[in-house]
Amino acid sequence: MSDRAYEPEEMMVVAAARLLEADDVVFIGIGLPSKAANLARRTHAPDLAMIYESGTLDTRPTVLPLSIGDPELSRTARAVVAVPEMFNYWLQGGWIRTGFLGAAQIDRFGNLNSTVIGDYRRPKVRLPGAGGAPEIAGFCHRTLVLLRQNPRSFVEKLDFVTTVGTVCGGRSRQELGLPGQGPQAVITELGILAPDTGSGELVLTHLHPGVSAEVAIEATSWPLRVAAELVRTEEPTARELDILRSLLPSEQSNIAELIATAARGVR
Amino acid sequence: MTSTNGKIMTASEAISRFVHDGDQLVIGNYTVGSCAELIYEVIRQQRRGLTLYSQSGIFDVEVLIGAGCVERLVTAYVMRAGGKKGGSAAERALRAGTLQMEDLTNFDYNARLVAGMHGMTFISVLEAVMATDLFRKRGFMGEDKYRVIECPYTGKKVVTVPAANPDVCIVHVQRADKFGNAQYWGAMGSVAAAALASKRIVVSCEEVVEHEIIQSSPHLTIIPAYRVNAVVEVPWGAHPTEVLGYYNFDSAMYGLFTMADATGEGLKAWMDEWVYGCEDRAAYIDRYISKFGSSALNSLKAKPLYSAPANYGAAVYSRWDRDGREIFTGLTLPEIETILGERGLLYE
Repeated sequence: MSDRAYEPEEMMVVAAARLLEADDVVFIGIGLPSKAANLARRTHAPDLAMIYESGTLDTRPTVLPLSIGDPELSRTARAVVAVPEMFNYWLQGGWIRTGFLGAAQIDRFGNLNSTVIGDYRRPKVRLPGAGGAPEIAGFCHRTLVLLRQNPRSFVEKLDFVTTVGTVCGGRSRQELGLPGQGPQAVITELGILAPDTGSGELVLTHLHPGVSAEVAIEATSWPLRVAAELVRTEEPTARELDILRSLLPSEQSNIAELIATAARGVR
Repeated sequence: MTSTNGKIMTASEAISRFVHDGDQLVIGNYTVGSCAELIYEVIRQQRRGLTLYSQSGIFDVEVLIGAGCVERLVTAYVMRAGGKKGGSAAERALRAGTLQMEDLTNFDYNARLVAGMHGMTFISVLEAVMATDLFRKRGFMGEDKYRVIECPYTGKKVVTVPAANPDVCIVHVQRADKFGNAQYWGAMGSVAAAALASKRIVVSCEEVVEHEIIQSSPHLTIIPAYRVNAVVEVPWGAHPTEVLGYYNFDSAMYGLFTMADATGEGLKAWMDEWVYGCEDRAAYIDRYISKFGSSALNSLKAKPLYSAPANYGAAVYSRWDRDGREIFTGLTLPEIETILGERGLLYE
């Protein structure tokens, strides 16, 4: 336990990191998943094999990469492959155990929208798109979803189904012929949700310190089910926080400095 | 197609000769080391009606759409500047009805290029896409976005995508020789598939090197000369993105672009300065240095970190003397065939 102050986002990353297994093989993108995996590798999972989608296998960055093309990823990778190979040989081949996903919207069955808010053809908000999420969700043995919990993101009905979770519950996912188990945990800044074994519906299983079930229920548009035995997440330890905060990007952005130089004029 | 010269040209000449209005154009790079100068030249030459293939769009796709070059976009990912409150050229063009878009997954996008590269007309993809709106909501490809067939072996439903063979691929690499042998290393992305599926290929590179340099490490060649139409030497040709071994991602410059791209006016002003306002990459770099100082640019330059050379040597290399005897075995080819035949090792 720690009496150190921390941000809700830090709790989210720490909780995600703890879900990685010591010898996990994990497919990650830039952002919170990258932080969580790098934290796990420096704590309980030193043999974690990290795979970034640009094609670097078992890479061991010494700092957080800024982009999937960060030189640090190629420099520290054990193998570098092309993206078609990544998907065909490694992902479809069944060799990537855990996939991290984010999204703008999630429904009660863990289906995800990362494509559009509003009408598809004339969008209110055009989101980045599918990327590799549909296949990651299909072929990784399990997926972990990271997103913030509020009524706009935890919705009754997705504006667009980009990636399937447990589809519409029951056996609907297996009937689609997807090899992976699908979402095994949804980690938010409030707690953790996991699919109910029978129905496939997401159930609140963990609450982070200081958060009540009511807050999580209010942050969810569908009537959120709460597990009979709700687990209280352990606070981030001092060590976890120290390591997480030391994971600075490989190059600090200096936009302010650049603008100042331009304003001052170069001598 | 391989000739001893004639492929080395300026970006202006390469785009003028090989990228036409109405073309299917694929950006070979996948967010990493994007072929910025070739893209800016497409914009300066005001190409129109392009069908743009981009696996993962960043500033490259944004400027092409912002400039009005793109009518149709095939992609798995587009950037969004400034989070929820921000925007993107793609979003603005979709709302204005000036852009048609086809959303694919990374896997399906690559599958289309791989099918094109292999000379197939279609390829099967993960059938679970049928449960998503990527399958149900279709753009300009309509029925041809995904078609479902029956597997002739198992009778199961199989989802397929059509092969893609873009008219032209523009792509940035580390180095090439004057013949067009293009070498690339680092985050491989879909560079090879995008290039090899395309009918024409325009390569820009950080440096044109002697052929012997290319020959000494042939595994690094991802596009062989006989497929390449043009080679453009353009240092800093991918700035503000990164080129392994040459320079890092310029996060500050990228940040400035991202701030500008949140609105249409902002993007236009940015492009007036950095695309239309610079006649070529040398002028762009001059502007960068005069505005931000040479130290800002120098701070991005890569420090050398060479891989250990691989040994391509052998004990002896096959060669034949004037009498047609193989130097190592002392036998003629018919004698070798006779011996192999007697041992049952010769394929007729």
